[in-house]
Amino acid sequence: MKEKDVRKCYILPVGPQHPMYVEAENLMVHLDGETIVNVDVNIGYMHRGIEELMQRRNYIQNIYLAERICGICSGIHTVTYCQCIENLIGLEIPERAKYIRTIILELERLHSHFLFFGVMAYEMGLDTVFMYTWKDREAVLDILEMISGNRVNYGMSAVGGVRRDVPENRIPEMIKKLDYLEKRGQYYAKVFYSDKLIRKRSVGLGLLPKKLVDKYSIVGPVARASGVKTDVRKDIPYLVYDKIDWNVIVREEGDVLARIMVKIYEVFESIKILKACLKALPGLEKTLKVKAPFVIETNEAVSVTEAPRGELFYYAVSNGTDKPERLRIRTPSFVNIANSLGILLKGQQLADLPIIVASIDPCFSCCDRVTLIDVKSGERKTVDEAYLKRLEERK
Amino acid sequence: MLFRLVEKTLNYARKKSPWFLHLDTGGCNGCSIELFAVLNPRYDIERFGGLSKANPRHTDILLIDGAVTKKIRPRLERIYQQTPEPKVVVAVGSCAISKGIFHDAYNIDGPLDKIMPVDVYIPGCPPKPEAILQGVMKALQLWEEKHE
Amino acid sequence: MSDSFRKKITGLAEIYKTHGNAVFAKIDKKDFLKTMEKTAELTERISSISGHDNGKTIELVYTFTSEKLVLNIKVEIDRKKPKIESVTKLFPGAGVFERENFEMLGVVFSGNKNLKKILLGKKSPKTPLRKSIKEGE
Repeated sequence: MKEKDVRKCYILPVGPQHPMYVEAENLMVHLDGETIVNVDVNIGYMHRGIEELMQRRNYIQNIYLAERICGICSGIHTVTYCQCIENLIGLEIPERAKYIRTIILELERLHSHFLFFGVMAYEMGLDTVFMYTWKDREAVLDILEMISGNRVNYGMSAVGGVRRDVPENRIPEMIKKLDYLEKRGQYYAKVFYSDKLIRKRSVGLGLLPKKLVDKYSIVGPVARASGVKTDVRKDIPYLVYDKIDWNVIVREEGDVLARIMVKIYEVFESIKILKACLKALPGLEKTLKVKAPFVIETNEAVSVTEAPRGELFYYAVSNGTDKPERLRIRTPSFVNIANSLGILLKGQQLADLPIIVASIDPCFSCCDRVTLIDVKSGERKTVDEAYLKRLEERK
Repeated sequence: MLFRLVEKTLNYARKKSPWFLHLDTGGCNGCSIELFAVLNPRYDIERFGGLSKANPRHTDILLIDGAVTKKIRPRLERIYQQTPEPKVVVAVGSCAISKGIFHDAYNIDGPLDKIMPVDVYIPGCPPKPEAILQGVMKALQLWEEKHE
Repeated sequence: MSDSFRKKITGLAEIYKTHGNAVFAKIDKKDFLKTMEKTAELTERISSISGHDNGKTIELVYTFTSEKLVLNIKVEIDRKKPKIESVTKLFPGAGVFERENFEMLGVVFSGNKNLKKILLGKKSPKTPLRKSIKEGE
């Protein structure tokens, strides 16, 4: 950019505590008037050094650590971790354990998607839809509590299988709740697709072109909303996904609405998978776990799964002791946030910033204030969430 | 005389509508989503007059969860200083109370009470919404007392 | 598609381990750029660059996922002065991973113009994933 253009630009740090989303991140937004010209993403406010911690704990302690990498997708982290260690040993887990793990993972996908709908509605100013979706999300958490005893951090997976069984006498109750969720899903599909206000705030916004998706390693529903058919559950099947009939949802438009609709239809697919698993469970043998060694000999292995936000990748190296030599975790949000925001936000209006950032479903939490700096005159103006919300309402 | 009347009315109004600020300082989000669940119709904190706000200058009660990472610590201290008195600080979750499972991580600064005075502790990993409600009720009581 | 993919990989580098759908291959540092260019013809997306300090060398594993295959290409570099060519021209998405390995292990990726910290702050320790030299080298 030329010298004079830079001076005309405002640089807006949307700091770590900001009004948009759950979690701290810092975006240095370069503005020309109200149009975003460029964005620098500054993350790391949630970095706790987990990979280093994992080298100092043994394989069983690491299960609890893996669970607490993220509270929204804690189940997938434990399952991917356990799968990676099982690959190191060369262990095959019992059939029932595979079905139970699939049930937990799909329930987690459901609650994560409902959370996303609520937050998207909240960003657009529709508080009622936020309340409705989170109330429906409670039904999913009820099922999880029936199975595992907890709403968050279920503690179900272990190396070699699962720790608890699904109570078979409560399966009809769970299926009733899933029917209720399916009806609500159809209602939200209608609301998000046909409501004029929502369409105005989401159609054609935050476009992600198809050819940039693979180049920038963008994964998950964000990639599927831009026409790229990529889903680890179909590409590199694990657990029982290749035994059940279900579809990958892909949309071509690549805007905010496409990202919402992909997730809505994924809710229906998840319910399909869940019902199939719950119906198959009573007919399976009762073994939940096989014994796994405490000390693992030198080896290396990988494990790839589909978290609610995209492809999750674990790489483990063992060294003959009871502690891993190296455990590498690459989460989908890391790539999606760092790589896609620069593309999505160029040329968009400042008032649309919260909606576009929330639409990639970043796995963070935040609520902050924002400082506008006029680079030319050096004048500073501190504004807050109320200012951004007023901007949104004026639009 | 008139001034006293105005002051009394304002105090009564303030007591009945505490405003919260929620800050996640480096946790796993588990406590954050349970805090959000407290806002929604099943547990509903709004019936107590509570409202979640993003501006520290408008808040009365600080709800802080997460083990404090080094990067966010200066912002956290600034938010504490920007919140006007009387204020109540609530530490939500094991990470805020004692660093929890991250106690020996290289990027985490001390538990919350090393950085600021904490009034209410809500233990749990994450604490159930019912526990959070109980903790917030205690915080409200403390806050009313501070107003006297 | 996966069978022909596998044949092409065998032409690229020597495979030393497989488990399930995952393939591990090892290359020399001098063949690095050539192998990466050939891989760029097969797939556009890189999944991860995992760095590991094993006390003697630093191992970098470049992972690519596609249909029915998880391809891991391992290259070893010197531990005292870790340096390797950047692949951001072939895979623009790799920039983030190179920054992460730079701050965690101190690996310099020559050709990456944006090589700065991404996760660690000013007060965090430098290169935390490096093994400490006191452990009898």
